[in-house]
Amino acid sequence: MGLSREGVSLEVDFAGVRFKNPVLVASGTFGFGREFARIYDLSLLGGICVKGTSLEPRRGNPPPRIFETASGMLNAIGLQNDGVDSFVSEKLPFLRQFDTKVVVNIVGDRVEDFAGLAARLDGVPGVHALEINISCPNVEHGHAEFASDPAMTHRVVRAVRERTRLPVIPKLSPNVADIRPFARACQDAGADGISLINTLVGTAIDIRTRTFRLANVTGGLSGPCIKPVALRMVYQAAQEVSIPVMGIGGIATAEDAIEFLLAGARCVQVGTVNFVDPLAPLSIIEGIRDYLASNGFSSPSEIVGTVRRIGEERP
Amino acid sequence: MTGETGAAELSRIFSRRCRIARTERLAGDIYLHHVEFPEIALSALPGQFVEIRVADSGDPFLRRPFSVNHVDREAGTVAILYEAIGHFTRQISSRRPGDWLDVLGPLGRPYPLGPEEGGEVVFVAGGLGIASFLLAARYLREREETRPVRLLYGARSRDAIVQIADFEEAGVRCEVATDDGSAGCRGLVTDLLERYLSSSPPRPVLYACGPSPMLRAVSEMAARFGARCYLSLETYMGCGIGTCMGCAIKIRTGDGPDDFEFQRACVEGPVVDAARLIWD
Repeated sequence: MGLSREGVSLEVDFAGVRFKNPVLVASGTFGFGREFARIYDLSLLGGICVKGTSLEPRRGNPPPRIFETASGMLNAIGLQNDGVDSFVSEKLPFLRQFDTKVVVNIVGDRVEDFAGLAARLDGVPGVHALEINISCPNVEHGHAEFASDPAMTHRVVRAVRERTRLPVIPKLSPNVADIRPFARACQDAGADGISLINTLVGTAIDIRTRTFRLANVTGGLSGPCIKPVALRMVYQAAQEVSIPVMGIGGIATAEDAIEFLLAGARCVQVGTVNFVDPLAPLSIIEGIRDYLASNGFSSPSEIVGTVRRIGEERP
Repeated sequence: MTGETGAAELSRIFSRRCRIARTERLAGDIYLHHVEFPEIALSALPGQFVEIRVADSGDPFLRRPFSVNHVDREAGTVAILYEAIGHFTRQISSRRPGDWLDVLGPLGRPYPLGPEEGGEVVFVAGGLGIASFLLAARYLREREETRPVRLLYGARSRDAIVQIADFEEAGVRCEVATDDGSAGCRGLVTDLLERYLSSSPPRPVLYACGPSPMLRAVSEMAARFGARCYLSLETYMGCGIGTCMGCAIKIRTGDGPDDFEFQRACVEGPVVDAARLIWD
């Protein structure tokens, strides 16, 4: 039942974008590619979700901004970035030289900010899709409400949808009781796909100084420790909607990525592990190829969402 | 060396699991590990660092930064110097020759060591801060440096002092201070520095590496005496290559209270101009 590795095509269609393989790198873990390009050829990646980009530059939160936890880390960067104009004029030309897809993660405080970003990036060569970051837990202004009220999620997604021809992929927060109404709201508002999960809100305390470890008090938890939560939410969301799902959360190995595909994700994003093992996305891509070949599949789409309960017959 | 600094930001970063060639115990819990990494041995500049990973298990999860202590270009090895005092460093110290360490580097902005920086070169080391200077001393020696080069070195006690002979061999004039007076004079490295700066040396340039309170004291003293000063910061880091934005340092961009920006200690540092760093 095995195929040769050459018999496998890793290409996937997601929200109308052809990715050469189902492995992207997650926003906020890869900058704008420049640093990782010093380590390997970015054209090997399925896609790059660039660091969250806002209309105006943001200075970010004061340090300390990160803290290591068991199998993961907390971060409260505060969406430091140079703004969309700098992205288009200074960051994007560098990314355009690589044969990969660029997904721009857009952030804002108000619905109009997101709409403005969508309009600004519409038709810009080298931008292949928008990821709407309605779920960053680390900024003060009330934009957590975009992620915690399905009606607000709908409003933001609709506003972006109306201002761009690019595929629109809202990125959902795990900091909700039930992910399904949010996935549904995105689909109803015209999203082309969804991605999840963003970080889980957490904190840590230094018992020696009796202070919080982060200047921001709370931060977003990421890394292998969040994978089971992410996998459960991806499974639930994929059951709920017909638009494709991009799975994110603690993916460090090919086995992790394959779990997400089986749970219903059509693509995956590799995030925090980039900080620890910069070559991880490449070994994940090759590991997926090996798994598909040795199990007789010619494409990742053949296994998407095919997980079964124990004892359940394969159709 | 601004040209080299610029080049360092675009140059190749290498990432590999590599073999430990040799380990040395220098004193107490202070060790030197020599790892086989020819590309880094050839390309590392003084003041740069590597990020090390010791476990696949996620414990510890993040890498930790270590100064490149020195390199052996012929043997293709890179030496890191550390004290086995925490969870991470104790794991490294348990590794033997033939075992692996995962190494990423070379990283960060090097010490600017060009003659335009100053007429006398002064390394100011506190404790394990000594780790970042041997490569610099040898770099200057290889370039047949004619300026005087000094090391002012503060440590807990005599048995925590390492590599003095290596510095002397590189032509560096060394002065030591210890907390308990068991070697050199009793006191802090800043006492040595104050005495030195009070002697009105011609255009000294200071390069300091050590714990943050010491760096702050050195920086204030440099300002008081009008000496140029670079600090190699010891900052909690995530990725080490400039993408996580976790190692933010506050850098002055003008004279107003709000004229600052957050820069990355791993890319715009770890070596920064003391006059531009804002301490909070």
